[in-house]
Amino acid sequence: MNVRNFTANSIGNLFSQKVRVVIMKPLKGKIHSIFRSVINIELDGDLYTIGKPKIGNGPFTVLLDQIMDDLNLIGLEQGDLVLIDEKGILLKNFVLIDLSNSLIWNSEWQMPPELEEIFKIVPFLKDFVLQEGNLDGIGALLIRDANKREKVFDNKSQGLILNKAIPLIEKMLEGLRTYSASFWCDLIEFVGLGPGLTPSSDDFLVGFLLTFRYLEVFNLVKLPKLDFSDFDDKIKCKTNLISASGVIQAANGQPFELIRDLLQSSFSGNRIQTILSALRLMDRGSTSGTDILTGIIYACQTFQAM
Amino acid sequence: MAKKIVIKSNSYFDSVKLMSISKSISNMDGVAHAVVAMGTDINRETLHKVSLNTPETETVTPSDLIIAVDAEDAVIEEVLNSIDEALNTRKTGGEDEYNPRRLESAIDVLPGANMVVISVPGEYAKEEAMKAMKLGLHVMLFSDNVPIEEEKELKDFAAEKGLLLMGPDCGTAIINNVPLAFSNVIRKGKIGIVAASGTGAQEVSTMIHKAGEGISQLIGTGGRDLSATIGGSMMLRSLEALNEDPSTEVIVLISKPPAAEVVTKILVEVEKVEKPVVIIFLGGDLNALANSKAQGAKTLEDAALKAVALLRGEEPKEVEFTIDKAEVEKIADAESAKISDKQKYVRGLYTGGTLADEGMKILESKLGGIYSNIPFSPEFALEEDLKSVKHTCIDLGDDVFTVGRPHPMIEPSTRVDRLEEEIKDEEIAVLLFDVVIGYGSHVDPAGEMIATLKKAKELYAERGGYLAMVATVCGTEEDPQNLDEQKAKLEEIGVIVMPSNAQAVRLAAMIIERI
Repeated sequence: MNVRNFTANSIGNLFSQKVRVVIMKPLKGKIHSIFRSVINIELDGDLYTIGKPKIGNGPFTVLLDQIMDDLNLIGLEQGDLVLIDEKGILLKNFVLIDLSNSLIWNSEWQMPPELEEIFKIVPFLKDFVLQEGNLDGIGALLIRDANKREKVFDNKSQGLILNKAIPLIEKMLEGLRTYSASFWCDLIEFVGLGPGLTPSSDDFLVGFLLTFRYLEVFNLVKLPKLDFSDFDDKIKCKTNLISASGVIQAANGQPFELIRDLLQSSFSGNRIQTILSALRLMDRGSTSGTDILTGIIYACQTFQAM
Repeated sequence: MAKKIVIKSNSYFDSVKLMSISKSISNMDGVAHAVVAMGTDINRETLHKVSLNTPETETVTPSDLIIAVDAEDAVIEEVLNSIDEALNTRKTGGEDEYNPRRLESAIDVLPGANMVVISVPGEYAKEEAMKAMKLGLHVMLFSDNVPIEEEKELKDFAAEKGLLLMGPDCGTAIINNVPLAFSNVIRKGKIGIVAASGTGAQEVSTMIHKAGEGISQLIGTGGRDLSATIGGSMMLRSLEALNEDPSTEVIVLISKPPAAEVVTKILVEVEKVEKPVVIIFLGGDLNALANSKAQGAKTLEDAALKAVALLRGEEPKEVEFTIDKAEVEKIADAESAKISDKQKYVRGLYTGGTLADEGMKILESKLGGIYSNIPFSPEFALEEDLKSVKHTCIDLGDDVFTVGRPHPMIEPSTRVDRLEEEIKDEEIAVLLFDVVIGYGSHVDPAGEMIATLKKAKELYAERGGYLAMVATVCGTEEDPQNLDEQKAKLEEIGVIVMPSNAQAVRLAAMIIERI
């Protein structure tokens, strides 16, 4: 079989740290899942992502050069062997990704939030999500119109999810407001609720946690201490690995590029950039982007009330 | 009713596909309830609550996909087959379900596309256009406020890649018979148009259609293409492309007067073209074309009719009116007779910028200086309050009128508001205006003006005078708003609708001259 060569444009800082050891000893793993624009690989129980530029950078992400191929159709399958050595990432035995010219993408926050903007952004983001978002997930919690809200809650599946989500979110927020370590337990309880590959509650938590971690980096707030060592494992038990990876990274304050762009532009008052970033985020999955934005809005509201 | 559970172990389908499946199952006849979700603990609890749990669902892990259906026995097999088919189709969701928010996602949904229309704020336009061209796509760049240096960079890159870069600020194009942005439904034909003016292109293409011919391509270049900085890059390449296009037999070039050095470049290129070429540099000096093989045109209508004549192998000639001039004079006599002594001036309220330019040029030649927000010389510029003075023509699509408001072709209220102000002036004798229809324009631009036009007529009658109204409708009978219907609405309340902008302006001037 002919080897297909792809070139990586960028590699996330944490993925880069992981592959730094390969000169000593090649890394072995397997393909976890494949989508049109993404191949997820599993190395030592953690998930790393290889994708087209549209997905944006992330701490554990390698972005390929522009390619038109549907990654579903290049001949790879779930479970195929992955080998990372000094030549690059070899998928099965015929897809080689050259990392030699890739730039390292750093997931650190680049600019401080402006306090005033955090207060101003909530109504703007809410209106935007209600107008542009996919409210089939947890984003429906933002609906203000009584008739529409009633209709959503009347929908058997979505109503059940929302009714389940409301007390769980409230419990989690109460833990946060009282600076209690129970916040993290309540958060774990909320993981894995809702439709989609990444359940709505997980996406909500990604937005929520990253907003707080961003504010925390610049000393505007402090989250209760995450002091149990098996947090990652607990999350992984509650949801699938793809979704769990997102929540864990968010809990550690490691943002994806699309969310970092959105938060930074929102909190600096750049409305056009905020809209563009929000649209890019909404382009992610079905309800995922909207659910993440809902988490961000809830985080801003909670921060205001604290 | 039957309950059926499908479990896909360690299966990951993207959310778009899962939600699409969920929606389509829920909408099937005979389905009472359907849940599509990953097998997390909390989702399993939810299944319990709707009694969709089974012993199988108790054993799933968060990495398993659960599809639970509660449906009538008769349809359950069909439902399961549909689910299976949907899951096995290796395609992301259904196009009807998914509204891409980014260029790359749109390409994923429509992989065969080779052109993209970009409309983002100017400061982001270059990045998006560059991204598209790197993917091998032709670009129609609707965005305005793109710095000219960036336009140059984009056009140089397009030339290098052999791609079309229409714009920035390109609002009109028809490519392979597909109207883009503000365009009309024009029959397919043999005349190719390259235009640095949106409504100019609409007027010429609709006149060609009305004359019974059609167009092969209408390529927009953006208004600054013929500036010294850009050097006519897109017009020159389009000219070359239309020369090579077997379905194009005659070429029309439309622009405001270009930079002098660009005129020379274009005329040199025209000499290489093997097909007849008609050029209108609106308001420019026709002598510049004296030694060229191109036919010069004075008005947009003139350009269209000359192109039609050349296509038919006839001698191109200038036409003042396409209806009997004696009839037009009778109309002018009748209208002017009703106007009171106080009324002296023409007021042009245009939504099309190039139509306003053309109107001003013709009016100036007959009535002298015309005041405007886009004056030909500074002494005829309106004051800061933009209040009309004597003979005035307004381009309501100009930036000063569109800050925070949609373009008046989309939202006629800008012009209606202006009209309300204008009719307070007792000295107006003739109201001149355009109605531009087609894709992108308001669904009923004429209808939106009727109440105010009627009010104006009544007001001038109360004052013992008469307000003559002359208009033109730029469009075709196949446009969504329908040319004939728009005309009929205006004519019903006494507006004289002329076949072209040039003829409307000439009639307006004729009425003023007779007062």
